[in-house]
Amino acid sequence: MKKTETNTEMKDEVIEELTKGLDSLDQQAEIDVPNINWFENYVAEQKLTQRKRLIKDLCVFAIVALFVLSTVLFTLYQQPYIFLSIQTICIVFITFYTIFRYKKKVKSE
Amino acid sequence: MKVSVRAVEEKQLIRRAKKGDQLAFAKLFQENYPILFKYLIKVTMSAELSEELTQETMAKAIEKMHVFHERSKFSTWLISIATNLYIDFQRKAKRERNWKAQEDAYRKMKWQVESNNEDWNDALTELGKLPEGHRVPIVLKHYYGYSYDEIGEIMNISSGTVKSRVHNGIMAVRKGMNINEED
Repeated sequence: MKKTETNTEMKDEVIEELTKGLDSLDQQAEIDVPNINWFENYVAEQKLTQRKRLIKDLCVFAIVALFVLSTVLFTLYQQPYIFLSIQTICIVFITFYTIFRYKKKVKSE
Repeated sequence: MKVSVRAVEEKQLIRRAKKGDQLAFAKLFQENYPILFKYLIKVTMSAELSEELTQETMAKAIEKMHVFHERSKFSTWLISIATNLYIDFQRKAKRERNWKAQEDAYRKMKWQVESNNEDWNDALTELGKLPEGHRVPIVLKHYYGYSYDEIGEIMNISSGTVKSRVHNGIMAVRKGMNINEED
């Protein structure tokens, strides 16, 4: 019981010191808050950049999708055994990858 | 009363921003800029990185505004985005073994605090040594007063994990500060 109390006191002491230190960081931080025009320009600029990126990503996606689809259709009708091999490899890969990611996530937590 | 008026104003600004109003976005960001920057200073301990991450957080917020469900305050949502951006940044820095730049920034911050006659204590030094996965929840819990559940939501981890990280982090700081039971 006494040991638990001592531990709590020490923990409180650490937290107090941490708060003091973080307070000094907070107080010395020099913040130069830009004016409202700067923020408005920043928002407009970001929206434009994000729109351009979206269009670029959609184009890349469409081209890759067309390529994959044509390859799949070609192998399905011309060389079915290659089609089936690719499907099997993909299923095995996704299964192992999912298990690996899950284990890594659990371990890191 | 003042708080509730501000909350109502914030809600209105959020609604306008969701509809694409740039001035509403600008007002929300201007209001929350100091909160965000000061939070990042505490977790990154680097002014340059804090400024960079503050801008990246605003960019991300513009992109993801439509998925903000207003269950939390706007500042909490920004802190959540900033935290995840910082964790991603650290992951990338570890991959690229970019230690030197971070150490230089840390030393610069320490020098700035000390030259302003502020106290850079041992606890802060030990906090700086912790991995970001432990440092962030300690700052959120013991400086900002967020609950374990809220921190879990911010960092996308369970509240149990947050609790153990905060505890282990505090113990590591205590060990570093040489606070022993015999003292």
